Amino acid sequence: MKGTILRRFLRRKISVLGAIVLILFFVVAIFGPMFCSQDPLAQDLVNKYQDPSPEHWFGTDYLGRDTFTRMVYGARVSLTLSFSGVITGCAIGVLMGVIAGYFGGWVDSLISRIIDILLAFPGLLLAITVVAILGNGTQNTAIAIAIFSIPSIARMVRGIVMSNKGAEYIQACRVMGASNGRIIFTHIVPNAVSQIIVNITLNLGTAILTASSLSFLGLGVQPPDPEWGAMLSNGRDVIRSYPLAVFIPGIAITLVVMSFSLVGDGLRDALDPKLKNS
Amino acid sequence: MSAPLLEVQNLKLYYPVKVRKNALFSEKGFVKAVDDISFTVNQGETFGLVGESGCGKSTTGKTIVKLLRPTEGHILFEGKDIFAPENKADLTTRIQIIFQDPYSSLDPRFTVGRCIAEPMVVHKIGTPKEREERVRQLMADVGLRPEHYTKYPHEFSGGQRQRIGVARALALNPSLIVCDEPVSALDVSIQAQILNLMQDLQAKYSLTYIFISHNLSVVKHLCDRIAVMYLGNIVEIAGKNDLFDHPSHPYTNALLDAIPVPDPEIPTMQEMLEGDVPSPMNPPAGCCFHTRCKKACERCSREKPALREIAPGHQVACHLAE
Repeated sequence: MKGTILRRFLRRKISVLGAIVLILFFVVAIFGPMFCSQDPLAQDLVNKYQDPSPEHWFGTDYLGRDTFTRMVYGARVSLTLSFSGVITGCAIGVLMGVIAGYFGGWVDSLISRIIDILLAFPGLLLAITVVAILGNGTQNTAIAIAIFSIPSIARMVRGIVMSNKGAEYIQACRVMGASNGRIIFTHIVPNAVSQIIVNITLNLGTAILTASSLSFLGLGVQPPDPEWGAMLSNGRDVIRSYPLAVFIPGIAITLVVMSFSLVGDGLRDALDPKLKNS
Repeated sequence: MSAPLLEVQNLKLYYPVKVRKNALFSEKGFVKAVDDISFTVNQGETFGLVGESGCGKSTTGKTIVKLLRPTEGHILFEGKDIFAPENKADLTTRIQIIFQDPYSSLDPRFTVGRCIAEPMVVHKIGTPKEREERVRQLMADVGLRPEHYTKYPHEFSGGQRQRIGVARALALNPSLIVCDEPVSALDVSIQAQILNLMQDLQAKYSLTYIFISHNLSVVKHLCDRIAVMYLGNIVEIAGKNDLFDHPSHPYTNALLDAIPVPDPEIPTMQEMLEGDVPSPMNPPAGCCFHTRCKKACERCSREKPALREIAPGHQVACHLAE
C-alpha cells in the first residue's frame, strides 16, 4: 500500500521537483547553520549592500550582515514557524471539524459558531490580534498562525464528515458494531486525508506569508533575528538601488510556497485510489 | 411450531420534523415512517417486505439492525430484546445487513480483503492469519477470485461489489440477514446471479433473510412469506402462494395488477390506482388506504382495521376481506 502511493507520487514529475526543492530547503534549514562560518548577526557597516562575492555569496544587507548566512538561519525560523503553526492548527481544526460534523446537534452549533467568529476576522488581522494579546516573538507568531489555520480546515473537515457519515459504508460499520472512535479514525478521517493534505499545503504557503507580514509589521520575529519576511521588508527601501535585498528572500518564499503546492497536488493524486491507474 | 427467530411487536418509528406555519413560527410534527407494525420471522425462511417507495420498509429493516431506534415497540431476537444493553455484544453479530447501493456501501479506501475482514477486526475475532483464511473462504463462497483480495472496490462492477457486501455480511456468521433491496441497483442480468447466490448461501449457512424489495417478481422468486406495507402499516401478511393466488387486501390486488407482463399481446386490464399516497405526516384516519380504495365504505374512514387471520397463516388488515 505504502509502496504504491510512493510509486504513484513519483510518476508526477513536477511534484517530485517540488519535493526535491522542499527537501533541499529542509536540509539547509536543519544542517545549514552547522556549516556557516559567519555570524548571521555580525554587523559590518563599512561593507553594506555588497554585491555577491566568494566571501558573501548573496551579498550583504543594510547593516553589512552576510545575506547567505541570514537566509540559512532564516529558513530555519520561517519553516519552523509555519510548520509548527499549521500542523498545530490543523490538528485542532481536524478534531473540531470531525466532532462537529460527526456528532451534530448543539456540539455542532457551538463549534460552528466558534469557527464563524474566527472566520469573521480577516486572516492577518486575526494574527495581529493574537500577537497583540500574547505579545510578539517567535512562539506567539506560531500560535497566531495556528489559530489562523483552524477555521478553514475545521469547516472543510466538518463538511466532508457530514457528507460521508450518511454513506452506507459508515452505516455498515455501525451494523457490525464498530465504535464511534473506530468509525472516525479508520473510515472518516482517512477518507478526508487528501483534502486535509491539500489544505495543509495551501495553509503552509499562507502561513509563511503571514509570518513574513507579521515580521514586516514588527509584530512577528523580532530583529535582529533573521526571518525571510523581515529581510524582504528591509530590502523594500532599496528595491531600486539594490534589488538583490528583495530578490533573495522573495525568491526563497516563492519557491517554498510553490513547492508546497506542487507536493500537495502530487500527494492528493497519489492518495486517491480512484486515480490509481490514470 | 418452534418459537420465531425474530419478533417485531408494535413497532413505531416517527421522525420528528419542523412544520413551518408562517414566517416566524414552526411547530413540531412527525413523519410516521412506521406506524405500529407487528410480524414474526421464522428460522430459516425468507421473509419478504414489499411496498412502494416511502412505505417504511427500509426503515423497518434499518431498525432491525439497530441503525435506527424505534419510537415505540419491541424487536425480539430469539426472545431477547435487541435494544437492551445487556444483549448488545451478543446480538450484534447475529443480525447483519446487505445494502441496496453496492457503490456506496464499501469504503473506497479499503481493499476487498480488509473490507470483508473488518467485522472480525471490530469484534476481535481470530488472529490476522485466521482472518485472512476466513476471508478467502468467504470470497470463494460468494464467487470472488482469490486475486481480488488486494483490489479496491472501484475496480469492480456493481454485481461483484454486491458479492463483496454479501461476504462482509457473512463474516460474523450471522443467523439473520436483512437484505435492503440488494438487487434493485443492479442490471437485470446480474440480479439473477446475486439472487441465486443468496439462495445457495442460505442453504449452506442456514440463514434467515428479511428481503426488502419493491420488485414483486423478485420477491415471488425468493420469499416464503411476504408482508405488504403501505404508508407505514402492514396491510397483508401471507405465504407466497397464498398472497399471489388469493390477494385479499385491495392494495395487494392493485400491486399485483401492476406487475409488468413481458408480452405486448396480452391486453392490460389493470385497474390503476388513482391519486397519490397521503402524506405520512398526516395519515388519514381509519384505514390508511381508504382514500384510494375503490371498495372503501363509511366504516373504513372511521375505524382502523386490525390485522386478522382469514386463513391459516394469512393475515389481512381490511374490514371487507373474507
